[in-house]
Amino acid sequence: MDMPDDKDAPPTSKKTSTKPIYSKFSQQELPAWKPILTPGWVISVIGVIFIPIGLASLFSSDCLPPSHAQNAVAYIQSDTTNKTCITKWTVEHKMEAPIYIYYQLDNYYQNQMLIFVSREDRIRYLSLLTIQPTLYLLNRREYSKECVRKCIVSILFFSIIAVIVFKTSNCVDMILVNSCRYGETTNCFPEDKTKDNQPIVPCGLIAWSLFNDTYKFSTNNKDLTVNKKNIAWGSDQRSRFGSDVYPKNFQRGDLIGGAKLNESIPWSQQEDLIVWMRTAALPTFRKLYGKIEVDLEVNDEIEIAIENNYNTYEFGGKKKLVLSTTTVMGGKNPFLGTAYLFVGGLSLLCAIGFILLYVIKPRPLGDPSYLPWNRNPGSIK
Amino acid sequence: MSVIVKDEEGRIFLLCKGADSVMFERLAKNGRKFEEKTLEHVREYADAGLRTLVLAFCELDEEEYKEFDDKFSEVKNSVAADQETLIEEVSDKIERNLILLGATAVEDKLQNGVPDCIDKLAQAKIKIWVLTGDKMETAINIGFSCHLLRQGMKQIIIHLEIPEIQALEKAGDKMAIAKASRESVHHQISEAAQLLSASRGTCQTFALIIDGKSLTYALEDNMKNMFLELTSHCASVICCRSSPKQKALVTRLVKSGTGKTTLAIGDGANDVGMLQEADVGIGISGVEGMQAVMSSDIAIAQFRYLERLLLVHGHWCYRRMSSMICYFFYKNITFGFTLFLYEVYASFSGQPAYNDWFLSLYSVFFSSLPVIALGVLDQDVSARYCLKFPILYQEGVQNILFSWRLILSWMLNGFISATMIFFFCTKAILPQAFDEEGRTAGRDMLAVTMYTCVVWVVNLQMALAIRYFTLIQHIFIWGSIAYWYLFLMVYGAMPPNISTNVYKVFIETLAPSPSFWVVTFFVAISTLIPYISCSVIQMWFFPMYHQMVQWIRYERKTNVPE
Repeated sequence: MDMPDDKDAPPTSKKTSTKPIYSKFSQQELPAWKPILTPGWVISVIGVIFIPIGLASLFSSDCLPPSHAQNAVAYIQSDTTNKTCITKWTVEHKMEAPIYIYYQLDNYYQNQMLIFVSREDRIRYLSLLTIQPTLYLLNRREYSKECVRKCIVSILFFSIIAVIVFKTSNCVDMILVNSCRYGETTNCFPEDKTKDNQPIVPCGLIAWSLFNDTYKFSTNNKDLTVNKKNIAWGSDQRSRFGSDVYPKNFQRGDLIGGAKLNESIPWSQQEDLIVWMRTAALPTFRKLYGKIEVDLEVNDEIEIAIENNYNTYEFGGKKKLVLSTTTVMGGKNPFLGTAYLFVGGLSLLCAIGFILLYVIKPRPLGDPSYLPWNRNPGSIK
Repeated sequence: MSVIVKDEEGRIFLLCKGADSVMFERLAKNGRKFEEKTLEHVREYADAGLRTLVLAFCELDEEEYKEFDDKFSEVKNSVAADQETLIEEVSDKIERNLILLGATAVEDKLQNGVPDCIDKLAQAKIKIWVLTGDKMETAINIGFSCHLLRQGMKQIIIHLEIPEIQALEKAGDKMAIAKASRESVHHQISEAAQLLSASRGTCQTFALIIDGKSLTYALEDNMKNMFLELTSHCASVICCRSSPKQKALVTRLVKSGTGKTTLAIGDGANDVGMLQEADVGIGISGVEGMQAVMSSDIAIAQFRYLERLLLVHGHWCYRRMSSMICYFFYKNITFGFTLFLYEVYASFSGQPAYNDWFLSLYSVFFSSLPVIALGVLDQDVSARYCLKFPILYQEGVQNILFSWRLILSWMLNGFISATMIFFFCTKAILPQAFDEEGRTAGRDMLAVTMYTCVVWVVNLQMALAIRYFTLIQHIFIWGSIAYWYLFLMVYGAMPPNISTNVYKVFIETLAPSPSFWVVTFFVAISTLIPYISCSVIQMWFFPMYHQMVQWIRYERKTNVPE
């Protein structure tokens, strides 16, 4: 019997595996450090103690004549009364040069929002301007010549708008660069224009309320020179206040808020204004007035002539004069040292407590007999 | 089941096989020589989890067979309503006076690792139900094979194979059958409930076995609560001869009745309803097709992978999600409450403490990556210890890590951190001179200092909260802090009309000043001390289970009794 020939079997197909490639990351087997809060590690957490060094003398006196005690506002607003008062103060500790002079204001909300105009809106506006041409480009499926031309025109148009907005937005308080245009003061309402519609430079309520008390110091009938240079930040003088911009129409309205400015000095040299325009964070603040660059010995008597011009009586504020030296840590601040001592002491108490617990009541935390399912079989809580 | 055959010599034999309870009734007196031994063997086989059958035979003579054949043919050809019953009667008469041959035991092969897997899940206090379409005997055998039923467990069997109902079924009255069945199921459930009440306080564990017909009535509206109450006190539940619809109904009953999270796992098309009804459906891909896999949430290749899926990845996922959400509460409260405290000092005029871009980028760059690393990679206990201590899974079941007490604790931690950051920064920096040149800090410097402290505290808090430091964790935590300084330098170096009030704040004013760094260090350390103290006290005196296991790993004790 003739057997039929078997057909050739089909070639064996190679079995392709769908198993994913092994990696330590995908299998979550990365090498890891697994710390645990051992008593030795916890006990070593002790605070570091720093004590800033510095001496400060806080001088506060009522510079109001007794005859005007009942009508302080009228006294401070009058132009005819004599507002100078003389006070004397004895140096209790030696103060080495330079000695910094500060005026301190209490209950003065320089951080009030209504004083400010939001300058960040320009950045958002510019972001919106750049969004539209970008979306226009991304949404196109093909880039024909006409499309490219339209895109370029669109980009140029929005760029021009952006440049104009940047230029016209520069003339606001605190950002007064060289290209400031005098006509653009609309952001500074209500201190933006005079009655005859002339722009006020510098504009805004912060500049308008510039502090205007003055101080003169003398000791042993010899005047102490107050150095008022380099009291502002360099970045303000170089970049934010223009060197070719001069005050104009300042303090010429019906209401006088503070000091008048010398219109022959450019803004970058008006350091009193620059210091004042760095707004304070809290209602109680100090600002640098100047420096005395000679040493003051113990028991020296300082005579201070204060020109009481700034009106804090109307809103219940206070004015103080501070003389201080500094260290690398700045002025004297009992809080930081006290806080360091307190936290360090607290940590030390915790450490001692944990040591006592560790010694008196040792507990083998890794003992499996404490596991609840070993204590009570079948129960979990 | 019986077969009648004739051999080549013309002799007629009847060969019969069946369950032992049925077969031993039909033996002849002279065919019981080995009955006791065989019964003993059958029980041994059943205890070992094998499926048993008993075999017997007898010889028929010619007249006997002819009589049976005539009667059987007559009944088969009739069109009476009780044909099935009559056929059974005729068959029953011929299956008499059998001679015992022996017994067989067959192992129903399970996948590898299934008994161990179910052991682990039972140790994790997960209630396990088996919903199968098999017969009750097969289901019980499978239960023993996979360690769902164990020696020492008392079995509660609910079924409807009782003489009264069978008599009614012969009568053919459907209403009477339903009524009697319902009463019987109700009676059996009540009886079982009393049995459970009587056994409370002892270590007796129970397993409930119910067949599909009884399940129909047990799932009715007026009885399902009783049924659910009964099952909640049983360690295991087996529903045999259940239809796919009944599987879904049982799952729905458990899900809505207990409010707990349910997981269904199956490999066939008849499991699709159950998989979709459960909170989590897991399909096993294999020879029965892909219907189960395509309708499930997670697909695995073998049943034993369920052990690692639940005890390792389930535990990890619960810890990661709960820690991540609590940390989100913490970091946003820490940031937002400093804003609120500053508003108090700005007479609530709406002046923001921080620059607009600081506000926008806080959650995007400076505090998001560490929490992402936590949510993806964190492991409080390694996989090996998760499998060694299955009871750790109960942390998720009892919601220990995401209870309201813990959430409110993290919120309180956020408020405490914000308060400490705000007041320490303001008291330390203001109003005295800020640096050696005698200049004082303004609003911008306070804002940057406070923001720096927030970034440090939030990222260091993450470093304290996690117990699993890979290289990714280090890069994300310290990188977020470094990225803040980098952003500060780059943003501050832009022209003043772009960087506005942050212009050169860091480069010119803060970085050269030692008090900035001292204040940052002080505020960061001080703000974290309350959390460290509470964490140490909690771990020392009231440790959680995963912390106990961490200590066990730390002390390298390997001979741990389970």
